[in-house]
Amino acid sequence: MNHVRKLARSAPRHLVLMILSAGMVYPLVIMLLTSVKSNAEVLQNPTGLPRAPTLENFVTTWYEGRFDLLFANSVGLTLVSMTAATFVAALAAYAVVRKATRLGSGIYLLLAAGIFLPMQLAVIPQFRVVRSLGLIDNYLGVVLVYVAGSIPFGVFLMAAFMRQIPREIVQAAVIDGAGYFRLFGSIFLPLARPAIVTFWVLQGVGIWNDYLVPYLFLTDPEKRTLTTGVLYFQQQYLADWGNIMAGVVIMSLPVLLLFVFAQRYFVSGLYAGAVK
Amino acid sequence: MAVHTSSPSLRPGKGTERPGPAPRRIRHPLNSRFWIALAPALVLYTVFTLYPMAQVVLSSVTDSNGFTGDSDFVGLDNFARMFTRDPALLDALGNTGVYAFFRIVVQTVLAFGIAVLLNKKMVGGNVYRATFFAPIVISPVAIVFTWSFMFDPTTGTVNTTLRDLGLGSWAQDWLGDYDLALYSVILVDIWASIGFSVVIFLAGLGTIPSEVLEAARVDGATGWRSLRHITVPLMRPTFGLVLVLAVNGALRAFDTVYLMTKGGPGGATELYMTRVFFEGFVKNHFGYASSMAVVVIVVLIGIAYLQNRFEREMS
Repeated sequence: MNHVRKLARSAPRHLVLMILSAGMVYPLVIMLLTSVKSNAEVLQNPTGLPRAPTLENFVTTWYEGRFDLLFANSVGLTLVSMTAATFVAALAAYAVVRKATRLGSGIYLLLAAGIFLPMQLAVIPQFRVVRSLGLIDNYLGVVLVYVAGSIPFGVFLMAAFMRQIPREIVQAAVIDGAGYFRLFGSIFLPLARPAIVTFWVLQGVGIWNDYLVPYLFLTDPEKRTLTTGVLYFQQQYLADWGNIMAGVVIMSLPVLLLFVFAQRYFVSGLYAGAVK
Repeated sequence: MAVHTSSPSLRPGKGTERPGPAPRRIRHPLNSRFWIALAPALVLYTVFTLYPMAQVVLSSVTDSNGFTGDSDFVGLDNFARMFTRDPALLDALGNTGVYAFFRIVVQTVLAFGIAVLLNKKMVGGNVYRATFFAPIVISPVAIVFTWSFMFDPTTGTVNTTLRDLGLGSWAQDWLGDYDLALYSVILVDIWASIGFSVVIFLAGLGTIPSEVLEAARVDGATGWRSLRHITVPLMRPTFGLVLVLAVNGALRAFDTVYLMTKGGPGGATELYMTRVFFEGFVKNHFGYASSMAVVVIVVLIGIAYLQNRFEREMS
């Protein structure tokens, strides 16, 4: 009896949430459904379930769009950039946390203030810097731009976490003879793991999804990433929606899976990013 | 993003001081190791962030084209031009205002409602949450292609569904119609970013002590009344934060609009940021684009400052 009443009371809430959720999921469902319809079927039946579901689009898109290359490029670029960014930012956060002087906090503020700079506005001079270093069409240039762009938020997030590490642990390690970098590697890095994982996930998704930096700095077709590759692919296969959506699914699936498994880190990271 | 100095973590803490005795002996090597640890971050940040940003500020008073070296000092002429001699920019500002209104009012109210509904342990709660958050992780490229397909005037899902429901007369060229395109673009951006506002509201709702709501319930305030008189007033700082982020998002909005419509048809979806990009990259008016950028930076700093003061007065 009580159970039934409880259910009846929560019914309106569920009804509203279901309608809103359905609206949110609808575009994603369309994306998936379209990717398993033939190009001809998409035109006749754009909304319904596929009459003859097929994975052919994935095969043709993969080969004709050279997605093996794009996928490998994106994976490599994302992994290297996010790892380098995490390491550089963690090391800087460690340095400013260990340096409890005015100099330490001054440098911290200088680095963290970058959070407020709208960097899309600086892409033109950034382009000039990368060009004068001879790094256009070179992954190193893109990696350096990504690492630099991630430093402010990374230092902010990880320094906040590293400050919580109890002094006793640090002192005990120092007495045991741990040097400056040893202390970073075996105490600070492992203890700041939640912040590091959060940063890693957020940064990885951001780099995987970014198209502006590869679009501007990597013009060689051999070096395109999934985002720029899908953009070019669409320009060639204008109305072949089945194929285009297959490319979009290939691009989105890894981040959606990551999101499902790392939702916790993701949400805490987004919140930290918002209150920065 | 928003300045939030009231959060304690922004201030450098005094938690871990340099351990160990005999500071004079240790000082020198420790100092050099401090600089070694900082060097990669400092060098990259200076070369790829501070230096380009300084270039933007310096170029805002020149007629630089951005790609070759020479440029002349033009004083504040670029700024005067923005407000007096650039009708396309004024149109874009109007569009940005409409865009901002929807992002600020509609998205905030909707997100708050969703967060209130979600802020309870229930069956399927995680599934609902996931549907609101999922679009945040999807690339603008994927978002734009999916929605462009849905908005296609002849074979798109939106018009096809309307025709199937016998509402064929409502079918529109959603992205090609001068009066509609801006609203279509706004819808896409709200869909893509509402999860972000929900996350922040949920975090804010989580900070309201359950004793307060319990006490209100004992006093007979339930449902709407508790929401209006307890939750909303206590959530004021969170509302402030979401509003600042929405203004921020509106001024910086670029990706989806640029990829989906390139500012068209006929400038109908041209926003402030797409104008900056057009002047800087398409027309090579780097000096002029820089002064537009400087105005945004000043406005963003101003908003952050106001929010800060507002919050200090609140507490």
